[in-house]
Amino acid sequence: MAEYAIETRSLTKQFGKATAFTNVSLQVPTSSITCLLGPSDAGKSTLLHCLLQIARPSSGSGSILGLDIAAQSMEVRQKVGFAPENPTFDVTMTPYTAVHFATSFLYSGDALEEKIARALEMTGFKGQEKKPVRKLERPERARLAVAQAFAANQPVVLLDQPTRDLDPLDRDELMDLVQRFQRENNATVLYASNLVEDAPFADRLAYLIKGRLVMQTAKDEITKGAKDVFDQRRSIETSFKAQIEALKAV
Amino acid sequence: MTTTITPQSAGSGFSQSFKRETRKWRRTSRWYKQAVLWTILFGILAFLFYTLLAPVSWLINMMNEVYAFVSDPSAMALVRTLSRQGNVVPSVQFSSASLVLPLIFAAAYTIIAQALIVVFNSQFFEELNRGTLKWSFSRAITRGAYSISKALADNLGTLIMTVLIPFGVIFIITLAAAKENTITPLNYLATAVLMMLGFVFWHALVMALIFVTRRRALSFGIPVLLLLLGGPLSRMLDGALNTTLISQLSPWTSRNLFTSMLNGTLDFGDSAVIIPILATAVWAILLYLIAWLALRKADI
Repeated sequence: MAEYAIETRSLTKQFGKATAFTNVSLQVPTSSITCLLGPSDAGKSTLLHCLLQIARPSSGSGSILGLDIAAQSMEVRQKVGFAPENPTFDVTMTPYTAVHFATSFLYSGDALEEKIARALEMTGFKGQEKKPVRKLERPERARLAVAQAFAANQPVVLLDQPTRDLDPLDRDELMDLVQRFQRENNATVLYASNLVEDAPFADRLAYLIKGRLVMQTAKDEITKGAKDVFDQRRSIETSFKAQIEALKAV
Repeated sequence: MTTTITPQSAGSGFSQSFKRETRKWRRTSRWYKQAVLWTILFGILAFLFYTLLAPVSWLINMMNEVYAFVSDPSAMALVRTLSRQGNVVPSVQFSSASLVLPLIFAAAYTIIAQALIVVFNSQFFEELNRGTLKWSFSRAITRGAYSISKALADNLGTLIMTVLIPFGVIFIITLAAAKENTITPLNYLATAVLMMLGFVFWHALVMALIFVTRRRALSFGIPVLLLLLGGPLSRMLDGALNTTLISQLSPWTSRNLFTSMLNGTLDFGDSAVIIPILATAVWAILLYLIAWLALRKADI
């Protein structure tokens, strides 16, 4: 098994004179959850779109599970589940038909029905399979988008700001779902977010600012780094206090 | 746990996309409401026309006299001129049905085409801007397969919901209400097919304009202007250039053939008949190609 499920090499995307992101060399380890963190307009969504060829990269290259994202985009899309930012559904859809469409590219017959049932149950739509999507609340729509991405059990899942506009409880619930899916399927999950609160659910963090990837590292390292900083600060404070006490004594 | 993917080839995604696209009209009440609306509207119109016009025998007689005049060998030059201008003269004895049905078809064509321009414009624009198209292209579907499935599914919906159902009902009304009926079911069906060809062209035009310009005002305004003013504009250009070719090559002039098609007198050997039909089909194919080319390399 390759070390990295997703890799980009100096990937750049420009829209005319505007640059969405530049020279991004991202590495997402296989069977991990990676949070692509960054403020609005950092280029996160466009990066995910380029991985699936929804938008065409201007330069650079990339691969998913060893498949070239440009030359083998159809094969790539067969192996990747995707939930877009601010998911919208055709008005005619129900949770069942939405998941059916997403899954029907890979499965048919009984296997298809089994996958749909499993995804709908996992995401809390059991008993609501026929409910029109227009009647779903915002958190339910977010869950349905994730159900579409999970249903076919593809080895890689890309989620574009899945927790956008959700309140903290719904957000935690959704991210718990993402963690559960990753554990049960040993999948590689890359999700974009502009909320620091979403970061703790990931194993790794990649930080994108103004189209530049400024950091990618394991969460533990960040935590350790933060602890080092904290310890240093404590040490300085302690030393400073000791010096003040010494001065007082004089 | 190992993720297993069934060994299905990548394919083009056409069948999945086609099923999804047809669901948009099969499962949408909006389309059924349209079918009912058109049926009621044109049914009432047909019934009123028959009720009001059928007793007016002088009108039918007058039409027959006009036909007798233009059928005279000495008036054939006039017939040829009219024919070249797209006004193909029906060579039948006018009955109440052959008087009324062309009126119904002409009115229905203009009204339904406008409604379809609005519906398709809104549908394409929403898909493009609300993210459903992004999601579709994240699946294993080629943009060519998407374009073809879209064109086929939308036009199948149009054919069933706005042509076959309403005009089937109108034909039943015709059989019941018209005192004389010289129009055969086959000619009636052929006219419906000709009308459908026009709708395919308007669908292709809206699709091409949306994907090329991405501007709703243009993809709505241009088709409506051409639908309403395209005929006079073509004739004006023909007059200025002393030709008939522009009218014949303009896809919006094929509606002039409804009368002859209904009466089964269309001469497919006549260039004034065959060129507008072929031109409409060729324009539609070209516009679908343009839509696909615009979509093929575009960032969604």
